[in-house]
Amino acid sequence: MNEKRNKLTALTVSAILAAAALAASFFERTLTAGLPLPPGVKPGLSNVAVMFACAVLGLPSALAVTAIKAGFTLLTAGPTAALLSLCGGLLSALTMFLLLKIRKNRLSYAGVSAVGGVMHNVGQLAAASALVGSAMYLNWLPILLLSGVGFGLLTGVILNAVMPALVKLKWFR
Amino acid sequence: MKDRAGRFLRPADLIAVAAILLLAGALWLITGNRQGETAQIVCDKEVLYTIRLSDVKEPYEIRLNNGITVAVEPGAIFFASSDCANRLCVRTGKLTRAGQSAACLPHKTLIRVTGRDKAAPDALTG
Repeated sequence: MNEKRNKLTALTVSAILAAAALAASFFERTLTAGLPLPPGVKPGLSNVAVMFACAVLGLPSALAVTAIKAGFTLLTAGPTAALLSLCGGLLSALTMFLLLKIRKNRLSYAGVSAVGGVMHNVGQLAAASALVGSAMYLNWLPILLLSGVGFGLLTGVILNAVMPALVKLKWFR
Repeated sequence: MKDRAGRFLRPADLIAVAAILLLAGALWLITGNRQGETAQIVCDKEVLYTIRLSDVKEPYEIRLNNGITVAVEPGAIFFASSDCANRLCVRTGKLTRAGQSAACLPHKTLIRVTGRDKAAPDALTG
């Protein structure tokens, strides 16, 4: 009975997180629409939701949120963008989940998020390179590493700030 | 879980960030900042055009059959226009230096600039 309840809670919270991730993506897109950012450089605010799923609900939930995000991208930005979103998102979620699982890991949320941001961009660039069939496209890696670290730290700090309030809600655990 | 919240930017974070920044810097140096010599237009993994940028005297445009127009100038190449949705390729701007590239992913089209051909040195000392 209790386990069933927990599963239901996890499902519901995952759905809320997915909705929050979509809202964050949309908000971010309107925010950065006019800015001359290089391709692939974006704040990735929805990472706050994915990372929360990684930390609290587990890997299936985090992967589900990532997949729903990619589905949203498919509807709004087309198949190419969706493929990049999926490749970057899965690699990032997997990395962050593993980092959060390691007991001896001394990284804070900001650190885990920074690594996650970098892995997101690495996954995206790998998919993009495979699409055009050229390793030459990898010259974007330094810029994407920098933006991954910077914006990863930012989303990690945001999660760090909202975590105490979320933990108080007690609808998980 | 809770212990991870609270304090942020621990020593381990700084080490991780520093390592990634170092990697980015190293890659930046490796890709080099040499003068661009040859430009290529690659479409669907096939090299369609190879252009010696130093030989270009007058600017001209190449219209590809997928809705993309590539502009070539003396020493530079760039996406002039595309019918794709986000036009990131056009926004990437001019490529002038060796190692630079730009791509229109929906059309699987890449332009890239490479350096001097190592196999054919233009001068020998001896």
